[in-house]
Amino acid sequence: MNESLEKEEINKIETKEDALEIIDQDGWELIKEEKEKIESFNSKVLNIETEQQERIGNLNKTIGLSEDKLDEIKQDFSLKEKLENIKEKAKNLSGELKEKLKIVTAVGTMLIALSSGVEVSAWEAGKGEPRTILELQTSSAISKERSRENIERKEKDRYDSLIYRLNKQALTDKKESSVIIYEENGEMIIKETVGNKAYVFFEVDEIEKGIKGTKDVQIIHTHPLEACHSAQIFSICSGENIEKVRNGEIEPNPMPPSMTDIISAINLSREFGDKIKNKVVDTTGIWEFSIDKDNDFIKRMSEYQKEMINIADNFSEKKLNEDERKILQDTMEKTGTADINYLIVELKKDQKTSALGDKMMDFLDKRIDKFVKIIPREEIEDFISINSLGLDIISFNEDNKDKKGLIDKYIKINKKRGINVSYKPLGKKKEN
Amino acid sequence: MDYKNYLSKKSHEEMEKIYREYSGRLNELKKEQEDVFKDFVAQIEKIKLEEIKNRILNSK
Repeated sequence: MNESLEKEEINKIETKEDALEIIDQDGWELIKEEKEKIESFNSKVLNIETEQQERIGNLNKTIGLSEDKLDEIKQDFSLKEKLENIKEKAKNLSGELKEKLKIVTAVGTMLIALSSGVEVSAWEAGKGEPRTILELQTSSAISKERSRENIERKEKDRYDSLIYRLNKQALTDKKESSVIIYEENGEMIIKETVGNKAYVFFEVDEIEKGIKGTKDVQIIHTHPLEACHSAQIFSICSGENIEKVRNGEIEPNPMPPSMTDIISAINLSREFGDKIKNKVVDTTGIWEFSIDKDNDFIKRMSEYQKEMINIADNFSEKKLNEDERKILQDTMEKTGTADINYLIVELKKDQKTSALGDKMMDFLDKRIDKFVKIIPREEIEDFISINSLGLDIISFNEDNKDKKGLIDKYIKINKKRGINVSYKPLGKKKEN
Repeated sequence: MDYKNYLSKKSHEEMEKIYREYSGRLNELKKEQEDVFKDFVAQIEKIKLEEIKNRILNSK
């Protein structure tokens, strides 16, 4: 993507979808800057070394002493050791700088992504977002007198044909779909929601009904091939790639659960427990992922996310006066969202409400400090790696061809941080 | 400015701050290197002067 287009993208945050589209771009800008700064610093360090060589060369030519005599003086003066020591210090500075910038990038990228993690969480779904619901409730014609085996076989057939259809849709659809499967009064209920290109909401009411049943609640959503194009700023997938896949000229790539999917799963696990089973269907297969609530990272992330979700309410109760609370409530009603980022955008648009937007930013700033304090650096780095590996798996670039190796790495690093992921190519028996 | 841009801006500022700090420390090292060369040249000049002095004394 060229620079002017990038700027245009950054400046056009007018809708929630726009905000979602640029999440990765902000993170990408940080990664680019980190790289540029390290390169620039390394070149300065190299200059020190070059300067040493040049000056020693000049000394040899201009000092007017024999080479042996000069060497003797150099040795007595410990010139070599002194210069080596400076070189070493410069290299250490370069290493330290690299580490520090890496942390800023990791934390920045993470926070940018997390600030949207709230908006795609299940909670918001219950707050009046417009959406289309396709209800595919099991026909009541299924006789309760039929044997349990017969019902289970039919349920399995329905499930299999659903997954088959979603797999086909992932190739052709331009929007994500989500499906919730649960049991109610002995019947399998399937509820389907059509979302947008790069996100879809889950129906909280349906999840609540589902957890009252005896079986697990399956939350499935698609990763359509089309969505990989929204990550075009990374130059990993182009419109041309999509066309070639659709024409059968090249193989599609797996599209694993995103950082947002994982954050959503952490939230679902905290609120609804172990009965939630998360699945992603892409053009190549099916990903299953569940959350280990006892993992330290999951505990910390869950706590942090809970706080992020409650920020609007807490903020409203403790930090706002009556007038400000009313403005906030009106904005929430007008926009149909409780997402902080989106609310700030809305508030800042209007001169009358922009002061409240600033106040909310200040308040959120304190949350950043808390995030950095509660999530250790190595955990942040691993979580960022999950995101990068996910993009490498999606990527059509030549240097990311070893999909199996990348998937293994992705599964391993997720496992370390309490996210149990498996991937099964559809139509094949082998499971990763 | 929306919150994401705000986070992004804050991160860029933090990077710039760190980069400036380390560039400053690198400049100090360059000064240290300059001093080493100055001292070395001074040492050579001192030795050369000693030699000249010795030659004069020896010639007398």
